[in-house]
Amino acid sequence: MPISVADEIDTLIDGGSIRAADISEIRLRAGRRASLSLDGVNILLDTVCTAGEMASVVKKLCGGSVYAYEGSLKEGYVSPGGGVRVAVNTAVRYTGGEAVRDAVPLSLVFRIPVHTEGQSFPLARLLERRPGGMLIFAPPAEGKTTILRDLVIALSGRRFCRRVAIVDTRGEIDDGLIPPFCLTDTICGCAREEGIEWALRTLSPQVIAVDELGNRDTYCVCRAASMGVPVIATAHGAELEEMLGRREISEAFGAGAFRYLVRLTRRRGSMPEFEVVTKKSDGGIERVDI
Amino acid sequence: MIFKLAGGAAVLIAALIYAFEKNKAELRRIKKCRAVIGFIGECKLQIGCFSLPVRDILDGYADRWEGGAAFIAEAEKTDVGEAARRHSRFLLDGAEERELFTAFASELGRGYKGAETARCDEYLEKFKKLTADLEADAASKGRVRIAVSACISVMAVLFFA
Repeated sequence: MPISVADEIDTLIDGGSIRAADISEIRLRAGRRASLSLDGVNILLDTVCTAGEMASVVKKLCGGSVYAYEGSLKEGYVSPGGGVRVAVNTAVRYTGGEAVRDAVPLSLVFRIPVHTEGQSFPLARLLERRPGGMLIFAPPAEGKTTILRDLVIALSGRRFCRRVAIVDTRGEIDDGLIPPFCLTDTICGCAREEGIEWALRTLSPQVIAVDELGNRDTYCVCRAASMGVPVIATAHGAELEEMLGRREISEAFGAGAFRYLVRLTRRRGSMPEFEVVTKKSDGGIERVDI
Repeated sequence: MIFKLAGGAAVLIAALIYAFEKNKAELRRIKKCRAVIGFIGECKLQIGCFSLPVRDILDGYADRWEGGAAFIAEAEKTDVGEAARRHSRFLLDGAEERELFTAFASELGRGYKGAETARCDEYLEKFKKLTADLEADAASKGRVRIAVSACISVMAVLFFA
């Protein structure tokens, strides 16, 4: 982070205008003012970062070796560790019909994780009572990955003791944040489809956890469910109707691969709210109290 | 007479020592340039084949660069460019190669693999050309230097004899 930005944020915190724990995102933009996001509210800062400063930040995030993170940078992100994810927005050129991202960043979005402990316990207890696959959905930046991580810790921890395989495509679920006493195995950096397949074949998991499920990945979820391994996943979505409107999600839910659909609502500083639904025997949907 | 001869011999020896020291300094300068060429070549290889991070390249090369230990130690802790700025006067003897090496180190690690290996090629070319020029200079000047020193000494002996 450029010193000017860090100093301005410190000044706001010291002055009592904001609390450090409430910051969910910090955005830097080349040639434009930086900003903070707190609980859905955006605050414009006075600091303007130069292109050179942005490039230096990316180089530092990559430990001095941008090329070593070329794969993830071309996907538009870098994970420097500690659960922090930085989205790197660059210009795109087309070379031979293929989109190639530049190495020079236009904007950087630092997504700051919120550390939760035990907030997903109601979901873990539900899964112990009535096991099955679970899809947690919410709009972006609501904390799905954080809740998924917390749920993995709960399920694989001392109380529930499940063997959990984590398919961590972007290195955001584990990233050194899972305690050592948890019974987890992490497959890091590979595509979700392959990761689920490898987990089933090699890790004999009791649960598989995967983040940001896409429509094309639901086939693997169904396959895992048919082999008796429930999958806990997250996906982008605002409303239940929207999720059920997606053919692949609806089919996976109808087939029982996802026993529960969970709408996550969270405000910083307060406990998350879970709206859980399951399929009734007659094909309808009923709410589950947790 | 003996003292004159002794004095002449001393002048001759001093002149020859001066000539040899100058030659040695030039050879040392060339040797240091070759060491940097080796380092840049290693960077190109490790980045091109394995995308090895800069810190790991430095760590693996520390034993292979005589005189580069202090630079590598600082570069591993801080920043390669900054370390090069501080240590270039120990790593290289000439101003031109110091500037080249500092520029290379400051840019190292900023881009994707293709750009990094291309940059390594660019600086390898520059250093090889510079080294070739120094070698050509050293070869021609070295002989001339020794011959001139010997002549001046003999003339001094004859003049004072």
